[in-house]
Amino acid sequence: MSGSRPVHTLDLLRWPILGRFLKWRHARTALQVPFLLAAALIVFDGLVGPQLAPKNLATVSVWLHYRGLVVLALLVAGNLFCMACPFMLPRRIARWLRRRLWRDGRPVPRIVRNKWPAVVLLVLFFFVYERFSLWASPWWTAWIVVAYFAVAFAVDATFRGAAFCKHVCPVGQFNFFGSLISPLEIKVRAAARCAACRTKDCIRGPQGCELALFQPAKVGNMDCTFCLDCIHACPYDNIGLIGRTPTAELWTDPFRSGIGRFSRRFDLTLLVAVLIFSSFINAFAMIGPVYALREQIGRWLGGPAPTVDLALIFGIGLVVLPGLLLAAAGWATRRSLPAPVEPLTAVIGRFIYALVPLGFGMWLAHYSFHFLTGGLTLVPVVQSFAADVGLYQGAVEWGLGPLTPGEWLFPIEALCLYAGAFGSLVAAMQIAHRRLAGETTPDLAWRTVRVAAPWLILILALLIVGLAILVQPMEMRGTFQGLSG
Amino acid sequence: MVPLLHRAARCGRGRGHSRRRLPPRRWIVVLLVFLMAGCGRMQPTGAPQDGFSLTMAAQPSPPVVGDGQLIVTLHDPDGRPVSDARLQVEGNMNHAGMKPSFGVITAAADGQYTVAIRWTMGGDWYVDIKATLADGRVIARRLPITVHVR
Repeated sequence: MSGSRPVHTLDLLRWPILGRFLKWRHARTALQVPFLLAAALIVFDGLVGPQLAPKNLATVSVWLHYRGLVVLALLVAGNLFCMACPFMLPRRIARWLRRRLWRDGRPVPRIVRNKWPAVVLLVLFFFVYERFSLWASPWWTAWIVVAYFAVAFAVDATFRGAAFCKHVCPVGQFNFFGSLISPLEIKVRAAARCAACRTKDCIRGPQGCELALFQPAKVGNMDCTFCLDCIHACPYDNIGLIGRTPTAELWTDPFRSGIGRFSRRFDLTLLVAVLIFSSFINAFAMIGPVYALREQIGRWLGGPAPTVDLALIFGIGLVVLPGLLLAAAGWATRRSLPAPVEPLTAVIGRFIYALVPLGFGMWLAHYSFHFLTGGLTLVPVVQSFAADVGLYQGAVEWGLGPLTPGEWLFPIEALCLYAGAFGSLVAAMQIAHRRLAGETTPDLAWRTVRVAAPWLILILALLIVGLAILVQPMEMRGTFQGLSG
Repeated sequence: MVPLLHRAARCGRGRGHSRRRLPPRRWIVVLLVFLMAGCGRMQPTGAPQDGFSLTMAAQPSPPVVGDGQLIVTLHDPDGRPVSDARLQVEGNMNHAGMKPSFGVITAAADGQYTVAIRWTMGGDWYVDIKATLADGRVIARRLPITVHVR
């Protein structure tokens, strides 16, 4: 690992065509423009097209294809969707305005220089998504896209740096979370080259990282939007898109540039907890038992109260239960740790990352289900759109739908979840093993298991819950109430 | 851009808008009006102004996933049953990703039409019923129905 000679075997930037494309100065723009056009079509059709979710480009492409492809991209590559994010295109105008009107704008206020705004927005989004059945409304879907452009523009026109990406964007936080398990990472090829560098263009230069990730000290994918700026900034061509062991970045807790240590960031712990447990809540909300539960809560409350009963489910599923489970697991682990023992929040903040692969596995299973069930429905929807605007005269093939036979769906979902659980079990053991590094007792293996045991039990319990949810037939109800209520 | 107005105009169909082409200069104004007014909001499912009564009942009731039947009843504004309409029945789920189920008319008498339809998934569905009368008039309704899992 010494010297400046690259040692990485898989570096996509060294691939003949792809590498050349990604190093091209306008590569990101070239990826963003098609997404911007797609966003324009989505907004147009969402606002003026047929208000039936299966027949509208907005609902089909956003809730089915976008989400399905996001998780697949995170699984097989990395944060490709932040790389191609169309919301960042108007930001160039916002930056120009900021420089002209506000002398390069204000720094992000210290109080929100963290993940708290994103945590609040994520929880709010998940709640509103279920309460008002956003997935069933092309109109609302279009307005979400419009709001995204507006907020990204407003935030980045006001504050310096990539304030929207780093502190606000809920989709970006999901992508950061998912990219923790991705097999690709943007990182330096040879550390010695960076040590000799005096200009530090990757952070200081005009194309320096706006998310404050200093390449030589950057670890992992958290907060990295794959924007390629550092690649273009580095005068030594010393940054690559490099292969790594998926999930391995969860095993260690070094100081990470622009982030700090995971275990010392309570806001990050909370963000990760929300994304892990909401994967279960989100899937639970699409099966029959949730309606029985909501009706039962309604009876207790003396009549239907859709906002209150959903708030109760969210409160229990996203606050009370996770809080209790994490506290119990952290407490049990803390009891078996050698001195000096960290505070409980730091123990939870360290071990919660073991649950990331399982949480991602649940998202993957859920979104894959939708994508595989209706992947081909995009064809008739596009045909219908094209027919309406006079670009297509043929028959609209409404018969197209699933990408795989129906009987494959549960095995695929279960595979996603099992793979996630396996990744989590490995991560829990690795974290425990590293925590005990330096211990020389003969029963080290046994002690490692003891330290990890509460998390291993939690992972297996969540695996069972996940399978119990996935084995239920999907049953999306409540739309009529949601839209009118 | 003018062809896009066809798409925009479509959403106004149920509200008496025409599909007449507008002068090209005005397309941007129309587009903005559509965008701002949210023309594409969920269409109301209440009774339209044509005076016809078109109702639907599921068998079994409540409907369950699998093969089912719909009994569609059509009466004219005077309450007389209409038995000679040509019916098209299409069921769509409320969420993206499911292909439509098309109903097959198996019997028609006394203004009642028996429609065989396959409910492919539990949840909320919208059934679009289009009845073309003998004189060419079209009576269209979008009716909600919730399908249960066995």
